[in-house]
Amino acid sequence: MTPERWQQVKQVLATVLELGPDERAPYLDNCYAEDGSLQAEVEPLLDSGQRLREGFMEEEDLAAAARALPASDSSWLGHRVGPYKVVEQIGVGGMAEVYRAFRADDQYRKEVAIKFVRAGQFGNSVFARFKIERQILAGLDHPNLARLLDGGATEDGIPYLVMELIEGQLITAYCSTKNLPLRKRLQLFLQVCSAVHYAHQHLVIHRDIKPQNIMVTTDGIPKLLDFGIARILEPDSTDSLADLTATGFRALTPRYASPEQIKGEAMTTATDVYSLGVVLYELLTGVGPYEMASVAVQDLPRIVCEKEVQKPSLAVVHAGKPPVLQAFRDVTPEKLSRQLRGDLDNIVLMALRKEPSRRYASVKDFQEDIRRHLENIPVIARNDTFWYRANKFVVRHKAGVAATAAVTLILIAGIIITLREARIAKQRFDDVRALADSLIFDVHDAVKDLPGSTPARKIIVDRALQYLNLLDRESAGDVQLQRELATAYEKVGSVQGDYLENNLGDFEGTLVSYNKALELRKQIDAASKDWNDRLALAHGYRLVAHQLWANGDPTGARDPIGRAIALSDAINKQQPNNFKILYELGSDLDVSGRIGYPGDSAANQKVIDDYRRALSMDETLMKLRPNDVSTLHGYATDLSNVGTKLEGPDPLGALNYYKMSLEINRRLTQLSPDIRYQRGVAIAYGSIGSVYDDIGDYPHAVENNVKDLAIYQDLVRADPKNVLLRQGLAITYINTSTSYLRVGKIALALDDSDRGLEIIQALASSGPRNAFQQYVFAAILIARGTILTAAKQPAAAMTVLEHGRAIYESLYKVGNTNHANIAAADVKLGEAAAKAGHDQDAANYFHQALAVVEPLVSSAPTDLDAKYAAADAYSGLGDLSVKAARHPGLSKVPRKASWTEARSWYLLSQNTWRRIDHPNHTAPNFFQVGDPAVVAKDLKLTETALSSLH
Amino acid sequence: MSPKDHRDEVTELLVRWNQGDVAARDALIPIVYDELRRVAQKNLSGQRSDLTLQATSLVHEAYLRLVNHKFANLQDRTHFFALAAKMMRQILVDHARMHNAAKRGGGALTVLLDENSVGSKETINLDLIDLDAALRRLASLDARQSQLVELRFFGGLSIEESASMVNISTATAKREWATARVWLHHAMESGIGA
Repeated sequence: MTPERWQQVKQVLATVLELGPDERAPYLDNCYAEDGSLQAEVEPLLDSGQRLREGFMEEEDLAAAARALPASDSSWLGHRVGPYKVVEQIGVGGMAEVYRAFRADDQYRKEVAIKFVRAGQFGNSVFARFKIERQILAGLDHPNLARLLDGGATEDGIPYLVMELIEGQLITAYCSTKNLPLRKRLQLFLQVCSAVHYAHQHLVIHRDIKPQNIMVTTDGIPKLLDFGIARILEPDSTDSLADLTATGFRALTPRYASPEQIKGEAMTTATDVYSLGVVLYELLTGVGPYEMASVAVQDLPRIVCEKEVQKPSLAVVHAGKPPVLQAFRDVTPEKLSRQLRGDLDNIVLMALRKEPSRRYASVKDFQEDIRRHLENIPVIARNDTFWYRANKFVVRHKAGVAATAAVTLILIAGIIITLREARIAKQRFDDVRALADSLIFDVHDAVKDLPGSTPARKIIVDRALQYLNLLDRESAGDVQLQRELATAYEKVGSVQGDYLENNLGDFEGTLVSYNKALELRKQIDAASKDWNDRLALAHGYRLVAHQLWANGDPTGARDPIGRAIALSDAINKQQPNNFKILYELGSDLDVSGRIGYPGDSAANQKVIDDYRRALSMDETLMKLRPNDVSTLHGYATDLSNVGTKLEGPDPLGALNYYKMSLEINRRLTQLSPDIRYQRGVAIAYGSIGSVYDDIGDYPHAVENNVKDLAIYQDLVRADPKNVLLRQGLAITYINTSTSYLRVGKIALALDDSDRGLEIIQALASSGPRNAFQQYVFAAILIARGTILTAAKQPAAAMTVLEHGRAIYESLYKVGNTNHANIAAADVKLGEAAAKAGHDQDAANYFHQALAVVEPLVSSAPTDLDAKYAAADAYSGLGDLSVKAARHPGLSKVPRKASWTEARSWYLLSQNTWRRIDHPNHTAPNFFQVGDPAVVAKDLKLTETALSSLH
Repeated sequence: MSPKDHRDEVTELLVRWNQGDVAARDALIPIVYDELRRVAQKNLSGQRSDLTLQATSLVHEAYLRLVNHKFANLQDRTHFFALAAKMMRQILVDHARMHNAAKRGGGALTVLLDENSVGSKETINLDLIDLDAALRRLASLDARQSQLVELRFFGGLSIEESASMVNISTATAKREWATARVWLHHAMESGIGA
């Protein structure tokens, strides 16, 4: 019988069953007449149906069937598991069962707890992680941690963990049975904190701290259970786009879950601080922080994430007598309230803050504050207003892919170092200040304490990679595990790419990680029909492409980004107007524009086309999500990108785009207090200013640069310790000072360059130096030197310029800047020397510069800095020759020779200027440069002089 | 983990599954599986009184234990049962298989037809292993129909509830159920599954 046939038979059967006994035969005869073969199939069924008893397969049948099956014992009781014999079941959870057992070969019959992990439905991923996690957990040894003793797998491959058996009571029960006063409860709690802190130092987070996991032995020693077990079973998602649901085997205990757990965001050691906070709340008041009992479960996420936690001192009074009385037998709620008021209120509330960054930075800090309270020293926790730092950063998600669970250990890398959004902003290399901002990072205290000289982050990354590589070997054929791994590699890659202390990021390592992720994505795509996986593949290509570009191989980057675009485009055609897809396609086009088309004659146009397409994606995205901050931000950035590309060939067009970007950024500042949007406004003003500068509209240039400056000054005032904002301000001072120089306001130019210098010098002396800061320092020095020369203070100029040059030299030696910059500094020195009347020195400087940049002009046609430097060096030499030619008392022959020389120099300069497509007044390296029109004039001058000498 | 803690989780997961979160269903599976197994075990070891079992099926019991009634609505309940049905089937059949390996028809049992016919006991056969095999055969012919059977029989859903779970009208569901019973009976009689 085929399915189609069955449908026909079924039809007949159904009708027959509904007919009365008299009507059946005629109906059947009719059917058989039409299709004779039906009879052979229908008759046996009808026949069997006669014997069908009424209760067949009705409800009772099932119960009876189940009841009648022979009894069986619980799977493990009495069995041997490895060297242990299982005695009794002592607990059961959603995914694991716990038994009491003893070691069969041990004469002391020491009892242990065995926990079986029920992997059943999940396949290999849990087993694979389990094996590795065991090694890590076995290394934890602390008096307040239930020790992991052993582990293994049964013959059927079911993994189990053998742990110290803790006999005792749950901490909440213990406290109320023993009627412990507050002080003693706090002391117990401190011990629990020690255990958690210890584990954090070993880079293990618990993630499921709750009273049910804290027992107190009969000797009064608290023991924390289940450490890390949760992690084996619950890989996590860190995607925080609101519409993407958390995935993975999430068995949250809502009562104790932190806001970030509920939102599916990254979990940090601060997550454990939160959970400890909840436990403390209960220990001190007898109730939970959100009065869970009366709350509808559906409302839970919102409540935990948004509702203000009531002060413990108030909660005990409001909760009503029974819960409090149960917890504290001799104390009235009012008396308890008085004891809790003040310090303890503040301490608990600080641990329970919604944003992880506003809680205690580490469990140790939490402990210390409690100790302070116990010793009557002032505590650190204060009322909200005191300590609030308005530092919310919004991550712009370029992910656009279905949330996949990432392997837990990777999360440690992501969470202990709180990477802010600016890390992603760092990818916008075209904006120097955005780059500056991307160096923001936070290293968690617990990790800072790690012994050894290797930067903490490197340890974490290395360990994470070891872990992932192990899993990778076991991942073949397991698509879900592969998804998790791919995401994990991508996350590690992004951590690796970050700037590590004084050095640049480990870009090579990042590429390796991204390539591993890409390989996995390809395999997943081949096995899966889901477009989300294909989109993830596009994303994977994009990551690799971007990294290749960042590593200095834009040619190599073209292939992967082309594939990314092709994939996203195809998916977009099948599923138009899908936010995630459009987002990804827009990002791909963005990156393609940034990579450029090296060696392609139509490169500029292609880049503009890419950006324009990205913009049209943005426009669709904005229709789908009109006030979505990240969409708007993307739009603003893309507008700005187009502007940048148009700056040379079409400055007025560029202005338009920058102005549009400015408007969007302004809108963003109204939608979100995030300072990155204020920075966006400032940057837009700066870009507008620079275009005005290029087209020679200096007053407007000044006006916009000043607006840029004003915003940056405000930002720094609001957050004076922020190193990168201050760097940004210093850079802005370069722009305004050179702008003033252009309009002849020398005094103002000097003032601003002075301020810029002051800032950068303060930074250099107070904190660690990094290449970028050095670069900014050098640029400021050069700007100041240029202004001093214009201000007719060549001696001062030269000092400052020498300093700048020295910095460029040291940067060049380690590969952090290009050679042309040293030459450009030499040109400035030459100009200053000439101003001072030291003509021979000036000539030397110019020649020195030319020695470096002359070959570069032809061999490196994209090196604009070299071309500008060469053009100015030539014209500088021309000026010197003119000066020599005008020397009084010179006879005709040498005069003519000088004029001829001048002419040659000016011709060379003019030729070099002609090699620059759209000459500006500021070179890419921030140097102020000459003007080809002036060179043309000078050339004419020499020709006139020469012809008059004949 | 105490049952009460479980409830909040399960209810929340149910709600999310109902809203379309497939991952929530995945998260539910182990919890429900676990609970069903324990309940089944308790019953299978003969600890429970027969009286109670007549009133509710095992799945209903698991549902009561696991889900916080106040907050789960009808939709959630239906979802739960669909899941539980599948698992229940698995548990029971596996169990039967384990303990009745050698015997053909070893899953047979004697049951009361219903409370009303106490006087006339009829010996009937309902071999779970056979039923499972027959049901799988049906699934290859008509997946939706087989699912309906699973929901009704193993999940204890009513006709109306099962109908809505598989997206058909109640009238259609009634016909599907009726024809399925006949077919399965026939299949089992003729010895499908061995």
